[in-house]
Amino acid sequence: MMGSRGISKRENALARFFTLVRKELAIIWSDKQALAIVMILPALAVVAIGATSISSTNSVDLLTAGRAVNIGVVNEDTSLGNPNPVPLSVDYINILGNLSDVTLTMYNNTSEANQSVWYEHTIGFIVIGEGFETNITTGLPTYITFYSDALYVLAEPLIANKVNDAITIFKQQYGYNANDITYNTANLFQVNSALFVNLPLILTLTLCASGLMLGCQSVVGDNPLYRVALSPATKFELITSKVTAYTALHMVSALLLLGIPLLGFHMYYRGDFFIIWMLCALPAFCGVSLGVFFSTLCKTKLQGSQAFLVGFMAIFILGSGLFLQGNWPIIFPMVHNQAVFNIIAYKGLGIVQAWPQIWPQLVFGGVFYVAALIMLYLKKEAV
Amino acid sequence: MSGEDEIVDVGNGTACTVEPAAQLPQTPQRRIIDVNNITVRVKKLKQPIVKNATFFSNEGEILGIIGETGAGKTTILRCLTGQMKPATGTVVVAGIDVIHHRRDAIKRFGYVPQLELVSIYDQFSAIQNVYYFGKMYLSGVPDDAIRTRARELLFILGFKEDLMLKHVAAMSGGEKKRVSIAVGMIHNPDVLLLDEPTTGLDVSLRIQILNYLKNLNKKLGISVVIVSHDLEIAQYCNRIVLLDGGRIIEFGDPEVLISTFLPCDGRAIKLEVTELSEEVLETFTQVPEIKYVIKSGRNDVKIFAENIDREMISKAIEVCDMVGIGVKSITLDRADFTSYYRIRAKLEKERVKKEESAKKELT
Repeated sequence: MMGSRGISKRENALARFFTLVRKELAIIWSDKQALAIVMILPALAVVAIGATSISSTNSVDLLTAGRAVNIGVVNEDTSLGNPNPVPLSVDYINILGNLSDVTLTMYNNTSEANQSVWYEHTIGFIVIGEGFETNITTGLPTYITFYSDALYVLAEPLIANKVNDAITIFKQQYGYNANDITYNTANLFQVNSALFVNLPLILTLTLCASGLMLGCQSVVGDNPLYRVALSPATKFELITSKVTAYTALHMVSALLLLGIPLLGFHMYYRGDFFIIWMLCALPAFCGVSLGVFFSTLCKTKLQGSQAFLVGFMAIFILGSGLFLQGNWPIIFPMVHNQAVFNIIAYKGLGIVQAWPQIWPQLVFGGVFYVAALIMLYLKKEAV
Repeated sequence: MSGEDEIVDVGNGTACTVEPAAQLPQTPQRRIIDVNNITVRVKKLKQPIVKNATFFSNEGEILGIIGETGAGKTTILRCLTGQMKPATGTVVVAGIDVIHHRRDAIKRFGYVPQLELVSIYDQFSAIQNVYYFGKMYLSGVPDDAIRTRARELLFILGFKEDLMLKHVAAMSGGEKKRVSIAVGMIHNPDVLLLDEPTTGLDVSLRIQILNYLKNLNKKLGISVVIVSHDLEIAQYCNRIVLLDGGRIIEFGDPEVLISTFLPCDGRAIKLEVTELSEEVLETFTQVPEIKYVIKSGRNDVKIFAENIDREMISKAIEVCDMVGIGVKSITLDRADFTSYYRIRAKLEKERVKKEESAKKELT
């Protein structure tokens, strides 16, 4: 074969692409320590949290301040039948609705309102009982009951804060004393462990941040990349293979993160395990794509590390769902992915119901994937 | 080419005659490299970094592109690989126009960059590196066939089985370079392009690498282009392109270049004297019969003259007597490429200097 120059030069772009994917995985496999950090540490975090019972509730005022909330309202007050003068329950609802960062959605009954929480349209709802006005005007205590989404860790304090603020204003306006009106709370979903509450965040954060970290070094840290680009492999294949390999790697990580709670801590997933697992590709894809894009902008590995830090802060602070004010979560993948996890894993709904939270992640990942591709095509690096 | 003399424009308004090398076959040969009148510009500089470069190489030959740092060697190599586009001219590699059909051309040449860091993966073994790169080119070929070819190539390049499996990170510079060469060869290219293959290696490794290249050239019949500032490569080359300041100052068979440029077919008198100084060298140049003088060792001097005979030897001894130094030995020598290059490059620099001062005077 050597002397004859007879080796076939048939091309198979798909085989080449999978070789590139294998090469990327082999590079990661060759660094066992890095692999352990990617795989084992998040799993240890899950174990640690799983072994912890729910700790005492800390003040969440700081976290809830200024956050926009969408609250459902069911008004069962019998005085609604008499519109003149305006019933007190309607006045209370108006006060609540006029509070800053509050959006109200009216429902006819608790069943409808419940559905809205189930499908993530609201984070909870309040029910104004039928004796609201009668009780207040006759000096009897009256209650507003609210139900919050237990899968959204801030739902209860957020609604409680707003309901309470509205009650205070209402009392000042009408001169009622503190005992006349108060509220009861109830959670719509059963929270049985700290792991149950934290798993969506751990899973999303791990996959997204770890993907971002790997992605940030993917181009700038791949020294022979431009030598590979001098072969028939296209830049499209180079970027796609990196994104595919890193996403696949994180799917293994996701399997661990989902499997440990299931097998070790009796976690109950209402949804289909395979679908839950497959959807874990979304945060990984988003993190990896953003990282690869950053990496195409960087000229040194140090810049890649710094880009990771910036990206991580942006994703975590603006996208984790914990520290955000305003409407930024719409474009950040982590908020959506936690919601997807809640919808599919905990509520047992399907992809159709989760679609409004899935497509923003596809768009986010897709945009940065294309941007990375364009950047690599524009780069004129020579070896 | 077909064995006839060819007049080649060397880009400086002069022309040099390139005679076919004696050892080259006389049958018509395919041009594996054909660079015609390329000029390369970059945005930051007013002057082109390569000017009107024209040269070629036939199938099965080793072509050396030699010049100092900044002469334009790597630029020319990048034009050959399609990484840079010349402003004017054509670049044909293995019959394919690189400027317009780069993706086709890529499959026809193998490339060995200067630095192994950007050429092969440290994390992989030699065989893994060659295999992965092989799969890029030979994606339709079964894995086993690529691995077999990788082993054969590495074997030719002096790798034993255990070394093939060793991680590149743990290899010496010479071993890494050979892995890089194997990577460039895996797809059986028509021509192998090497950027400074001997840089950073000690003398014995430099020779070793060049011998391996010669071996590949002989055993597989592959054409080779070596870009280097290392003059040692000349003795391995069938043709040489000499670059200076982005211009080709000479192009041809190195033996022919030496014998046609230097007087008396490149023969020289080599004197070993007791103490050699700049003044002594200057005194030699004053002798009308002596054309060039170069220092070839600590106390060695090589004298090139129109006639190398007894009379010339006597004159050389007279000069030594005149300046008060003793002569330890006298030998008749032939110019090697290093001697030729030093004289040729010096003359070129003097010519450029004269041109520049003439221009200044005019302005």
